[in-house]
Amino acid sequence: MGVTQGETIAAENSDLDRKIDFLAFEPAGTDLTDFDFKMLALTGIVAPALLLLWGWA
Amino acid sequence: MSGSGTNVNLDQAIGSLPVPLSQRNWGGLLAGAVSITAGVATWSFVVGGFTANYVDARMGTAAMLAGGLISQFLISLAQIPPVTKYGLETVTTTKPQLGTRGSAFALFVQYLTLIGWNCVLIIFLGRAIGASLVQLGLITAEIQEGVATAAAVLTTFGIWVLLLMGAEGLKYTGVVVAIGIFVIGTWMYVLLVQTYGVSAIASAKPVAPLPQGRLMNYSVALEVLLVSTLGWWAYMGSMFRMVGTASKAIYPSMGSLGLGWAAVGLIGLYAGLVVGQPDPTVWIVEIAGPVAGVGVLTFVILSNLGSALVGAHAATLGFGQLPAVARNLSWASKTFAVLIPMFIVEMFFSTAFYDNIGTFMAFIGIFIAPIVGVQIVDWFAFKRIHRLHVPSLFRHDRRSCYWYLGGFNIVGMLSLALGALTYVLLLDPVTFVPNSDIVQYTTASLPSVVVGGLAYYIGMRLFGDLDPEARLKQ
Repeated sequence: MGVTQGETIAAENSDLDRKIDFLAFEPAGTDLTDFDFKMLALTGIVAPALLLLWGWA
Repeated sequence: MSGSGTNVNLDQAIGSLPVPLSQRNWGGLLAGAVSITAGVATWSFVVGGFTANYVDARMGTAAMLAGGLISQFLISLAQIPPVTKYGLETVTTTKPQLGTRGSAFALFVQYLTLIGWNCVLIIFLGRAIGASLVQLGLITAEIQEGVATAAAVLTTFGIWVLLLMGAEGLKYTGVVVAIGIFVIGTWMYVLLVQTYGVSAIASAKPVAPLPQGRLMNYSVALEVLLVSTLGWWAYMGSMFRMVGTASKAIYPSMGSLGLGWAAVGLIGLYAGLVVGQPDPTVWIVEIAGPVAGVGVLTFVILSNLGSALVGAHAATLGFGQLPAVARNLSWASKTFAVLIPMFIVEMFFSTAFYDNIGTFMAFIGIFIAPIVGVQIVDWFAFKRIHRLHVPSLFRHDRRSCYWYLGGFNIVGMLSLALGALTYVLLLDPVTFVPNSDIVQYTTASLPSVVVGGLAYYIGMRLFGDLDPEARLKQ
């Protein structure tokens, strides 16, 4: 007897479930460092504030 | 379900699942090139021209650059940590805050933002091609509209073909388009300054300032860039999930999507002030002739196609979050399905859509501000970035720890509503007329971000499940 469509779909879903389970063991990238936060603050807060003061003057 | 064979691209293989760390191989320069490709399009000139209504060149320059940087700073905090650490696309990152089913609202906002803007860009591109062919005498005015429609449809089909390459398509297109944008953008600046001079640009008055005074106009000009830049939230996952470290992502994010797109928008500001027309396909042809118009057309094709490609890629990844789509559609089918509304709008509703896009987009934008506030609080105040349970992001039932109540995090959803309400109470998003004098001190987007984030913080502390991941350990 051949494999039915339902059995194929079930097998594929089971395969996807296994992939999702294994996501818990995937290595993760790195977090923002203190230096990154400082650069973000510099470009996202300090620089715009200076620009706005310059524009208003 | 997934592709097979040696030539399968990354998106075909993993769809909207996380990109494995080993394959997150885009460096900062490549991410920057793809970002500038996404960020710069004819919308830059539209936004610049709109800003010219309120302020002169000096104030406009400051407001546009500052607005781009401030909003992109907030978006970077909301998106770069989860996207680069776990290889996630944007809609997936909202599941801890909105719930497994609640994130469908984020998908709705993302999809309308991306495809809505894509329609604008490709309709504009089609019209630019039609107008250029008439100016060059290659077609008659009678068939211009038909040619514009055909060009738009063919371009959308071309986007689909490029999308079949997935992230690889973005990589190759991004580098070419970024170089083209830089070269032609510089040429536009030079042409403007050579024709009119710095003094004329600097002394030009705003076109239609509000009567509420200099500070209010300055604040509204800032708001134009704040709310426009917030739209990049929808694009972040598509691009930056290919970058493996947060440090490599923040510079292209701030440089391209914060500063770069605003810097090109300044061309629209200065042209709007001194020429009275921000659209370069009009003013450049007037001062430099139809051959120069070909150069502008090249810019329009490159920049609009590039932005639309990145937008369609992001929309496909978001669309792939739907369980039925993830299980049943191939990458080719998903990408085509995402583009179907574009084909329909381009063929049957292009004029009606283009004339009302401002209204449509304004109401999309007001929901993104509180989403950003909610996400920043969740990652950093509640430190969820360190304990995110990635498998739960791809479960669509009670097995997910982000199921909350029937798939919805009520606190998150209500926080979005409060943030959006804040925006509308402060500023009419359609007319951009302030509803309160306080806007001159606060803008409207920034309070919306703060209210969304604060409501989420207080609501989760009082009523929410702060550590759903702990249940899994039990």
